[in-house]
Amino acid sequence: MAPATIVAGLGYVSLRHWETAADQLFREQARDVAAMATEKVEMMLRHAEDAFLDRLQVLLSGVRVDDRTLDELVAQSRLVRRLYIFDRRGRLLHPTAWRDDDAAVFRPLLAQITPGFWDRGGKREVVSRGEVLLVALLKSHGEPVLVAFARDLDALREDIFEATLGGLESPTIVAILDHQGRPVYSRASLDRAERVLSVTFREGLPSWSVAVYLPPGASPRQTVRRQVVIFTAAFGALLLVILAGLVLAWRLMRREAEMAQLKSDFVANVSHDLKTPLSVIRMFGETLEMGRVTDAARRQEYYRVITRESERLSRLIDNVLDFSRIEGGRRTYDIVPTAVEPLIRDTLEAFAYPLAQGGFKVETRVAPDLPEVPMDTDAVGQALANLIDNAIKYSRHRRAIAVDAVLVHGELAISVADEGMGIPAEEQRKIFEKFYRVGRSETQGRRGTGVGLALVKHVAEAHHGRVTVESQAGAGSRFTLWLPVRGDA
Amino acid sequence: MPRILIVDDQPEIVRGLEDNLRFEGYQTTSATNGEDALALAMSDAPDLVLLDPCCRG
Repeated sequence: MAPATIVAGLGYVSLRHWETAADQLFREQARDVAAMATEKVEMMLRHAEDAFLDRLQVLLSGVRVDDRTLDELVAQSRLVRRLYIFDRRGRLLHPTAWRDDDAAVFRPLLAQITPGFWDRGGKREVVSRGEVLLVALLKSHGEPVLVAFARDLDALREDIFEATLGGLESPTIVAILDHQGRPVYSRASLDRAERVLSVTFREGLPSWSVAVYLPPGASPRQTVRRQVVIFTAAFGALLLVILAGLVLAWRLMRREAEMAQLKSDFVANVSHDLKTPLSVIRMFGETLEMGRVTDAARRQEYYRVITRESERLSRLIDNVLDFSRIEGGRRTYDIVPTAVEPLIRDTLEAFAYPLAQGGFKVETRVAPDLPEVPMDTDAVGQALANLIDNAIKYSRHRRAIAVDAVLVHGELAISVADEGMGIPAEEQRKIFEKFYRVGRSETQGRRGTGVGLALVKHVAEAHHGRVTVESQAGAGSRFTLWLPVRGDA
Repeated sequence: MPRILIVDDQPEIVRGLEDNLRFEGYQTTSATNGEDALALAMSDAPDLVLLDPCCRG
């Protein structure tokens, strides 16, 4: 818990640092952008206005200056909205009369022009009644004249601002604010945008400023947060994948180890199972050979035992061979309609001796009206033999076995029930896995290879059927083999 | 006459051993599970027990 808290704490602190650093860097960049924008605008404006003043000076130096030529020049220059020319005494030289309300704007500026300016000459911007006017001293036939003009706002926007700022590459929005702080021009909508900083113009547009805005949701802090969230999510996902891979690898490994153990058990079990009938056959054969059995009836019994044990051996070898054939995918089935009752009778007959020997009570109930069912007789017989063999093997004192064959919903159900030791619920699914054997201590000493039920399951599935088990530990088991009656199922 | 107790879970093995030992002139008793074997060992006090090591219980 404590290390997690430390990591989380460190993470938070570094996130704050990161945010602050990003913020600072961003402000520096924004300031640079704004400074560059003011410079560009100022330069372009000066350029355009100087060009106009040069042309005006040429006109004023000409032989004849009339109002019409001056009006034409103004009309040609988009940037100049209105032009007035005064002499040193403040008399209006051009045009002949004030237009609109211009007198209110232009007349006060005369008061701002100092005698020094008349002597020095040059140009300057004057704010009069909220409007920026450019004032310059030109010469007309040796006499200084004062020219003043107002700029056209649309031309300013389109020719100067758009031309200089329109192509600016920046995630921010650059805007021009007038002397009252109202946006005159902006590269994008300022709706809900956050103003980062503003830089006032030094010349050309006194009291106007360039402002840098952030579009909504684009603040460096928010960007950092977003990045951190994405990074954390990606890291978490990666961690999850690695963890899942580890778990998978571990489970695979454990499964492999289990399988190796089961296989080695299988070899030991098969060897033991092969040895028992062989020793019986050998012992009985030798006893007969040595002439120790004089009684004819008893000799007959010896022969029977030898035959039976050979059969048992064959069954076991068949199981193992079939199993290996199934494992290799080489087992084929010959499925033809077969009568059920003789199959069950024949299979039980093979177990007649061990059943009688063990004192088993066997009850067989085959429904009388069973149709012929498509199946591979050998395979189903073998599966049934395995189930009966298991019932005998795992019975204890209550020695009763019931074999039933009935039709349930279009399926033939052949069940083998015993009253033996039963199977714990948690093991009931595993018993159909190859090599698996239940509850080591209880079943030890009982022969078994661990492939019997795996084989039964495979046979059932090869017939598009299934095998089920109902069992209670200590109360017995009932295994049911379900086979579809219709061949096409 | 020496008494021998035969214990094996395979009845056929018990049978074969019994027949051979009787032929040789021994007296035998037998069991196919541990409980019976223990009971017989107590009651009969055999001179020798032939015990299959595979059987528990």
